[in-house]
Amino acid sequence: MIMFALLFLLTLGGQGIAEAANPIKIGFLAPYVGVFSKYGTDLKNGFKQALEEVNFKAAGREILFVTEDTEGKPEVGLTKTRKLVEKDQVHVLAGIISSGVAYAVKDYVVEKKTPLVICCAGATKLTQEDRNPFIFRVSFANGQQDRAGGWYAYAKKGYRKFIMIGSDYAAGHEKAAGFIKAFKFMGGEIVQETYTPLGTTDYAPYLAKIANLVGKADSLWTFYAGSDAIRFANQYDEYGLKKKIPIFCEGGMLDAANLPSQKDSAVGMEGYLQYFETVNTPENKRFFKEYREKYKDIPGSLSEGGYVGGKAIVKAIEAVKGKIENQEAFLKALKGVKFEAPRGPFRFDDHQNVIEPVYINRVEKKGGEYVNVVIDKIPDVGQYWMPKK
Amino acid sequence: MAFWIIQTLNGLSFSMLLFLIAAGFTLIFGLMKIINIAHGSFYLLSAYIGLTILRTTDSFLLAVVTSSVAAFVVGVAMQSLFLRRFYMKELQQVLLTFGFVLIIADLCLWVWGGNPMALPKPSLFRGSIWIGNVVFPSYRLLVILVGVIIAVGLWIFQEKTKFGAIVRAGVDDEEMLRGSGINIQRVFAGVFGLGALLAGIGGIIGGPIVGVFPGADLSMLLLALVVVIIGGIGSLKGAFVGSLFVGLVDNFGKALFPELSMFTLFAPMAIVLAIRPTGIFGKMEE
Repeated sequence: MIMFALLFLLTLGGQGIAEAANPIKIGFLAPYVGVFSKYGTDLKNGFKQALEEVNFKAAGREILFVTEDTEGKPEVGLTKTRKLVEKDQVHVLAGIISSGVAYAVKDYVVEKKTPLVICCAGATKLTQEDRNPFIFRVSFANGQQDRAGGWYAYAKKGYRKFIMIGSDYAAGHEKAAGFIKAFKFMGGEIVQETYTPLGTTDYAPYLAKIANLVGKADSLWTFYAGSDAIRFANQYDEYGLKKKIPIFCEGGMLDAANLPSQKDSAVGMEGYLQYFETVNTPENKRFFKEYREKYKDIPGSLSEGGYVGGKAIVKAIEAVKGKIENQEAFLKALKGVKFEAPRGPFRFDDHQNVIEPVYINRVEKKGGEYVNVVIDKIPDVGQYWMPKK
Repeated sequence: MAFWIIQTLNGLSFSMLLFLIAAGFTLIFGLMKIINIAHGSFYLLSAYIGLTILRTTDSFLLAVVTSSVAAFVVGVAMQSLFLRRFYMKELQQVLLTFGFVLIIADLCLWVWGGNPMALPKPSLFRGSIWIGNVVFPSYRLLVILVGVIIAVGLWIFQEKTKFGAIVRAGVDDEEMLRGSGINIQRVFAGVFGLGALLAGIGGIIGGPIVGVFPGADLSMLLLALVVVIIGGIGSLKGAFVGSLFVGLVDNFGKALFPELSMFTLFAPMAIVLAIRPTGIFGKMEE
């Protein structure tokens, strides 16, 4: 009997020790093939940099990083999420680029009570109507920056008539809606609105249609990512439209990831986003330098998004002294995380979506390299931000 | 008016690009009955090799020659080392070519990375030409010209040369051709290589318009499939007419009804299939 009790106690004690020494597992979801492949790599690199800064340790516990390829497809994303939660038993999920994937995994992560820190996907409802204590977002809700952009285009750039063109999926529509809402509220007019399939090989037919509107529109708004962004910018310039109808776009099209392929085509194009590689904060100077040394690449908004997501999780783990198993405390700590990010001060709003500055950029050629030069800043933009007349 | 001219030229340039890819696909099928799923991989490989050459030498002509020759060599090797072992075994051939798709795609990902890239245009054709009050990129006119030259070249090759006659004979009755003492393996390898070469030219010529990225192989293959299904599989004339049809319909469809753009590509295919299951120029099954 005594032996039994001893054994019993030993196993219990053993378990206690095991828990403290057990590594914390972070499951990371990103696309590594398809239209978003480069973005996926950027997001992962940024996230890993945040973990490497703390040597994969938070509050004394080791951090294990497991990543899976969503291929940017909702059904694949959901399968991979199941694998991370059920087989790898991760404590927290992070990443996700496509809004489609984000919507697809939402019900599952809530059901499994696994916290999810979205580092890119802007799927609006996830932090608004369908918000949930388990879902956080460090990037933006679609429309968040776009309302600021719409206001800026009217009030500061003096544009009155816009053409809208963008990718035909959740993000394209939600972002355009945000921009149009603020732009019309200010008194602007939308001349034409078109959505093109993801991965359109040739934009020529759409461009000839836009050419018909020369003189009838002040500027053109776009939302394009990855290979679409490169093709659209190159072909827009090729058709001589850049000088006729200037571009003021969702800045993702001009992300540092795309500039080396867009080259001269992108020069002069303007946009807005929460981060560009030249953002002038001390934290960004350090981040830019370390990232460039490590990956021999220039950090884009995805790299920074991954980094901020990683850092937020690390800070929350430290705040609960490594006891991530106490989920209530961990979620509370994560919600309260505040720090200086490369983009500027970082914090969540009440619905667990980030409040951040929005930067206005212009692409310029400097010393043989193409860079996004920050020309203006709109501070403290939250997901419900609206302009005042 | 300018709108219609521009849109027609747009459609034609895209048609010619489609023709380069579909012509090789249809040639290979016509003679060997191989459905070459790896046909888009020649496009991918050639565009990437061209990109590397353009980055180091800046000579577009050199890039065209090297990358299309590379596609030719890979094509000949694929046929004579692997596919000939599975002669007339269609299922095995399709599986084998699908294996090549995966291998080549992964090799390209490994060498050139996953970042989508655009090939620079030849310096002479970087500008634009004014038509009315609208500009048209001169490079696209070059694409139209190259497409027409290659189409004429292929026609002369098929109709006027001895090798062309052998190929035509092989398409009609391959057993008879063997019987007449012709080394059919060499003909097969040559035609497979030619098909790969055409797709390779498509890769380097199309690179500055479409760009090159993981997945370009399958998206180009899909377009080639639509073209040959409409034009009739196995027929060069069909590939040419099919390309014009798809290029123009797709272009005007997208311009006039942008919200239906996936539909404009596949609806014509469905209609042709319903009316004439073998395609416009396809041979009826006996």
